Amino acid sequence: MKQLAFYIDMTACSGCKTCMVACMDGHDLPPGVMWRRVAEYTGGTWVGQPDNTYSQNVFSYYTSISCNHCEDPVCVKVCPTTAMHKGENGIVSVDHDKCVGCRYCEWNCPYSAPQYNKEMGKMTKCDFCADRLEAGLQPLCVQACPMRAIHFGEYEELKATYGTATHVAPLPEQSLTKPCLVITPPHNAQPVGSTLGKIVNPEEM
Amino acid sequence: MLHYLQEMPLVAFTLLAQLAVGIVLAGQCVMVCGPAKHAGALARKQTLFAFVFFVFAALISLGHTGTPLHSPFTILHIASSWLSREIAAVGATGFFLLLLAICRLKAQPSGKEGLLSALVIIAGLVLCFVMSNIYNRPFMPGWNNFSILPSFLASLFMLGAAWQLMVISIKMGKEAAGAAKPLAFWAVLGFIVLAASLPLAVPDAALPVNPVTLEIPYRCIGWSLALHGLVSGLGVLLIVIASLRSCSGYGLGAILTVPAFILLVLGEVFGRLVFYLSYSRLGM
Repeated sequence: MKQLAFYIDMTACSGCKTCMVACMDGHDLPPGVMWRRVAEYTGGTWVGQPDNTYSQNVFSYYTSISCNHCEDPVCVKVCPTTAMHKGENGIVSVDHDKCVGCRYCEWNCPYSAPQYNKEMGKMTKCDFCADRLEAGLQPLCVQACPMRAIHFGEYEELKATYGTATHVAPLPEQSLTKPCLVITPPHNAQPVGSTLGKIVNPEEM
Repeated sequence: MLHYLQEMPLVAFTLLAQLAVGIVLAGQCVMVCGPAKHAGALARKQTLFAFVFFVFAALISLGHTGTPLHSPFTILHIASSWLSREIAAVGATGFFLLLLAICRLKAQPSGKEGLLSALVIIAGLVLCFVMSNIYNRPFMPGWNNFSILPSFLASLFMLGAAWQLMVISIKMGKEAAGAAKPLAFWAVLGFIVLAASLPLAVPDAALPVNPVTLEIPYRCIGWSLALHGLVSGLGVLLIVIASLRSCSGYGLGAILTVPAFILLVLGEVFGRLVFYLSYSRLGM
């Protein structure tokens, strides 16, 4: 089966959040529902040197993330109604005729991909702009990025083109859900599980 | 992010379901161990209350869903979803409880009661196990520990015993002595299980959790759990005193069972709220 995936060039991302806004605007999402989010991950401190001087190891970078349409999606596994399902092109989406709005997928997803829409009483999430793909258009986030930092395509092809790097902090360990995501890490990227940095824009998440 | 008001339906659902099964378990214990026949008859009658509590639990749980009319779909994924399995376990427990309650509406016990009672207790214990697995997930470090099943069982033992002791003591006074001891035993056992589980519930503060998901700081969780243990411990202490008073023939025992039950309910509601607020998730 063909598996679609996103590629994020973190060295190019300027953290402008245009991808996030384009997604919210294009899908007419209510406040607080964000299918794509941009985390500002920052950390570092002064480090004492043997010659009694200090140097800094400060780092800061942006992580633009939406649903990764995982190979082994935890949201699909835990959904009690089977509303969350993996369909054509490997896209994980919600069947609103079944979703009960229990939010259990939201509890479990380490990427905060399923988002609860209070007005609908159901879960919503990135569907890779399936309607736009059908019309031969790019997903909104890809099209809107002014830095051309987001690309999409077939997962294996993206890996062949951009390498196999998939995760840096603050993303979680990838082995449990096998996310379909390819990245180019920034030069000061921290390893997965690192506690040196923190997300400094939680109010935007 | 979980908001405490949003989680109240789950607090009420889990506690009422555990109370209902606990009432049947403690009642069966009184009927088997209690020398007073009258106490056994009273314990039998509590099955109807247990069923009412269980129905309330099931109805209240719908408050946690955004589209309750879609709830029939929630048993479609039993093969992989613990939430589906929980719904199925709730259905099975509720069904057996209904049959037992109907059986016990008759004045004279029938031969099927023992079997039905055993089925309710087994289904209720399975329900606790399934409930605990909903929360034991690798990406949720605040919940991914061994404390959940013991704390659910502790609630079941303590609340069920406290309810039965309260009803029997108030109705029977000094004559409740025979039933008081086995019920106090279940309450103490429940508290021991709870006390053993509380230290396991403190999450590892070093894990890189998403700050957006944190409702209360990790450092507050330990103190909150200690307070939960203290309030529940006080409730169980009153139950022990009440049972000793009943055995000595003092009427004060019956009065103590009411604050004991209230303290246990307050402790459990507080503990369950802390549990839900200790949710956190790895990643972003």
